Amino acid sequence: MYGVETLVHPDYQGYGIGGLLMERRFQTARRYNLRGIVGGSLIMDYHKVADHMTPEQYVAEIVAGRLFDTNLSKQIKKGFQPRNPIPDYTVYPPSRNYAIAIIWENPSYHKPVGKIIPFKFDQSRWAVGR
Amino acid sequence: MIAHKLKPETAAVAVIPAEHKHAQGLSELSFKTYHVAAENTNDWFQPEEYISRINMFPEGQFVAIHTQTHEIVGYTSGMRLHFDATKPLLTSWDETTGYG
Repeated sequence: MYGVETLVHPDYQGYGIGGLLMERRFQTARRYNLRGIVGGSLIMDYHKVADHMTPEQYVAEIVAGRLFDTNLSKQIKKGFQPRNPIPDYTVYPPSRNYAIAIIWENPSYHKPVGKIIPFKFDQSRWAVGR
Repeated sequence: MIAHKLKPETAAVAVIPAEHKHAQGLSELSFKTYHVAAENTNDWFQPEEYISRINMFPEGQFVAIHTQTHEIVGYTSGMRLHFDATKPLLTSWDETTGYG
């Protein structure tokens, strides 16, 4: 599943609503046995350090807990793993148009078992040499 | 589902599957959340785009509703995507979503 968008009304941010919404998406992934959820996290606070830090360095600082990003830090807390930067992800000056690819792997995913095709053995076709 | 972390003075919020009737409210929520000026709303999500997402993958669309005012205060949207987790995701949002 691709995370298209998550919105919380500005007056209701900080009350855990984003976490509730994301939990429903996790439930959907588990219910339909999807491999996981992938998305692009807009690093909303990157502009504060963009003049002396690459996106890779910024993510490393966030993962280490030395910097906090309003968007990415919360997603990491919810169980997403940050991967590579995505340049020109969308027009968004605060992130300098970067997003960070994030992945949540469904822990209960199981690879579907192949379909069993009934096979009727025709013995007469193999009765060679009799 | 009811939010547990809400402040005592804040009404409870219920998270439910998104339906067509929520499309107009979702469009308004996007303007408020992204701080889009009224004159620029044509560049942003219109109700039809939310309806399209609901039609494509209803199981991945949820809204958070204020249980007293029935105002939409949150939204999340997912779409089905075949993705190879061993390779990096490098495509833009527009490219991946077909412009929303």
